[in-house]
Amino acid sequence: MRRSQAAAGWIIERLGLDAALAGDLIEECAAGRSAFWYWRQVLAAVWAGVWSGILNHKLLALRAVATGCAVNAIWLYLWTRFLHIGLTRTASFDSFVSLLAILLTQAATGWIVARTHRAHAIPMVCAFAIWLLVWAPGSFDSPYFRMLLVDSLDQPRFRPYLARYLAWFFVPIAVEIAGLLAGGAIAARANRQSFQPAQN
Amino acid sequence: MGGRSGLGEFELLVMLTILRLGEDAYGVPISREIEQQTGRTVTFGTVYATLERLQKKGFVRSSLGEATPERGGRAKRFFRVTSAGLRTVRETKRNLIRLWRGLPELEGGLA
Repeated sequence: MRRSQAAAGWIIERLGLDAALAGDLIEECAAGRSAFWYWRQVLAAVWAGVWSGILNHKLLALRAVATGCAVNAIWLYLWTRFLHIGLTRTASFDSFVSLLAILLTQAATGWIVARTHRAHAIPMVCAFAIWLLVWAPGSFDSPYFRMLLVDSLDQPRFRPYLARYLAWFFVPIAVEIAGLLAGGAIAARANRQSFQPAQN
Repeated sequence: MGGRSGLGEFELLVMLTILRLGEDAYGVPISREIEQQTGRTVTFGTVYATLERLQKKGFVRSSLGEATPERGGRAKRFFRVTSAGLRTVRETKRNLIRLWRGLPELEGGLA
């Protein structure tokens, strides 16, 4: 439990949330709260922190999205210019290299977005990640998917094709988001004292 | 209510709880007191997000206590209601009482 508390404290501080919140949760655990209660509270705090970070700084979130898009446009240009490979629908060396390139480029994008929005680094990286997720269905080949889905219902031989298509579609997105968050987390400064005492 | 200068329902609950707790108002007792008094389950994340908003509005101020090993080396953050916050709570109470009066559905009991 102690190790998971340290991990949760790290997440909370990287998000720019108050370190006192992590301390309160540890205090409650010492008073007999369960690990389930603890992680529910951590997830709720992360959720509230990310959303309030985005909603309270909408212009900054737009800037983060613009920054992320600009950096990704550069990656896309470099990819098409120099890296003449792509994702295939079967496991292959090209797919592996492509996924690795996606992971590294998105980690760099997450790092750049976080470093250019230091005060609210992780919420801004999440704003860009949400933007990517919103755009992702645009590349979904729904007629092909529908055909595979219908065929798979009564013909089991089509099920591997359906699974392969879903993996081909979702794995790069998952790798992309994981890269972004990892890059953002590396860049984000631990912010132990996000609250500034009000002058009154 | 809930605007930049007003108080939302949960914000009012948090303000009243800080006033009730006095010197000992930090995250843990604030959350416990709200749960005990209202019977609703609250998450620390929501309480802290509300406290941050109230602090931005100038209704509460905070100060750090000592870091203790039982809290993983993290200090407690104590909250106090400011004079502007107290004025807003009083104003909210007055407004609510004014709205409450003369409502036949609500007369003759608390519920």
